[in-house]
Amino acid sequence: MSNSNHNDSHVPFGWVVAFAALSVCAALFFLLSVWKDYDREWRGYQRTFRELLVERAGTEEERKAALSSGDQFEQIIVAGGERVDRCVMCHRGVEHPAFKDADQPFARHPTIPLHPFEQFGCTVCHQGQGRATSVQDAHGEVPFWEEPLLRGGFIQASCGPCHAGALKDAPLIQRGKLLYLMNGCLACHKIRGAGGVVGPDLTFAGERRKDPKWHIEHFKFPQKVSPGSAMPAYGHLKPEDLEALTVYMLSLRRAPSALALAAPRPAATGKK
Amino acid sequence: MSAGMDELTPRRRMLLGLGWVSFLISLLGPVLANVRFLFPNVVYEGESVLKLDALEKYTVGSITFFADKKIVLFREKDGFRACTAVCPHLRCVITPFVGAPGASPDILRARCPCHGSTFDGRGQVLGGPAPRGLDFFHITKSPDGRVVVDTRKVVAPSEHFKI
Ligand code: FES
Repeated sequence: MSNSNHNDSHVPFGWVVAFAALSVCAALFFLLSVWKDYDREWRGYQRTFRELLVERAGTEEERKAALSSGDQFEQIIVAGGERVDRCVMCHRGVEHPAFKDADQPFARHPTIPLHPFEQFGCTVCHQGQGRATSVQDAHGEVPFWEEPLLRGGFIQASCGPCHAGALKDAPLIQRGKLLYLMNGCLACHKIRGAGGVVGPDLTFAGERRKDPKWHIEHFKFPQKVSPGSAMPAYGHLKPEDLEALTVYMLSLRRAPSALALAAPRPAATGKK
Repeated sequence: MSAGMDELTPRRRMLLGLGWVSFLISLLGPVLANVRFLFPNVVYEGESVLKLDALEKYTVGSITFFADKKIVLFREKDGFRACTAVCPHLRCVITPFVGAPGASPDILRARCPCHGSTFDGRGQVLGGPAPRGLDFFHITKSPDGRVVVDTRKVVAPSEHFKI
């Protein structure tokens, strides 16, 4: 001990200061990175949800359970990992009956028969970035994420790929289709083999562009988003009509592969 | 403790102490962080908490076989029990349990198609190469009234989830 102290005292004072300063910086950077890793947006939402849960608890038991639940990572794995949705980390009330009329992000999701959440996940219909755990990223409203959250009526487009027919809960697809025919789009565009050849084939239009904003913009000023396009502008249509047309465009895609894989293989179950 | 100590002024001492403590933090911290890295927050190996249907959907005496989730749900007089459908021998999926509805677990039988291990309704091995019985899992109820099986928590085969 005395030996090392003795040595220390021969080190110039400036070096000691430098050593202390550098070490403190290194330690602070490390602690900062730990804090940044810990302090995530979703923890705040889970805390708020817990408080609401305690408020709404009917029995003492429920209250205790709510109080004792900690921050949780949660995800829905769709079709063995084809999609991984972590939306439920913030949207905690999705399946909770007590949150029927709560506001987002805790609102309860209406139950859709035959579409259990644990099998379908969220992004198959809503789009967005399932794996992300911060609001902006998860909603996919960031550069380079091609599937932003579908808000409002645009969500109806997601029914299209699997339910090609007229769905009473997705009237905008039908309406868009009608507008498509009425406005003569067919003269230039082809869908499933029917239509003109001047414009691009739209059979899978919804796979190429998944952002409703792009479609609306494109209908209003085609050349603005697609320079050199020969398409006339459709800005004279009513905004609702543009929305319906967009929903129809977005619905033109193949069924998500995540859902095609969902059935178990018979060999694995021992049943024929 | 000789002359050297005297020259160690309080300020120098403090700076050195601070320096060494921070140095250790910045050295040990990343080591611990790397250890933490070995325990991921989530894995992609399928869900460990399985949500089944509403409690009332399962009538007393019924045994439901979930081929996709690889579990078996027993609805008995005393409540619910759930066990894995994966054979402890080489992880084949066993056949559904057979036995009259409402039969005692002792006379229920399930077999593994791969090497013929036989299990009774308590998960016990009656024959075949299986080294141990079937695991039974902890059951809870979700807020919306559905059966939730937590495959991370193994419980005694006799433990029931009472309603
Ligand atoms: S895997 Fe079941 S008996 Fe071998």
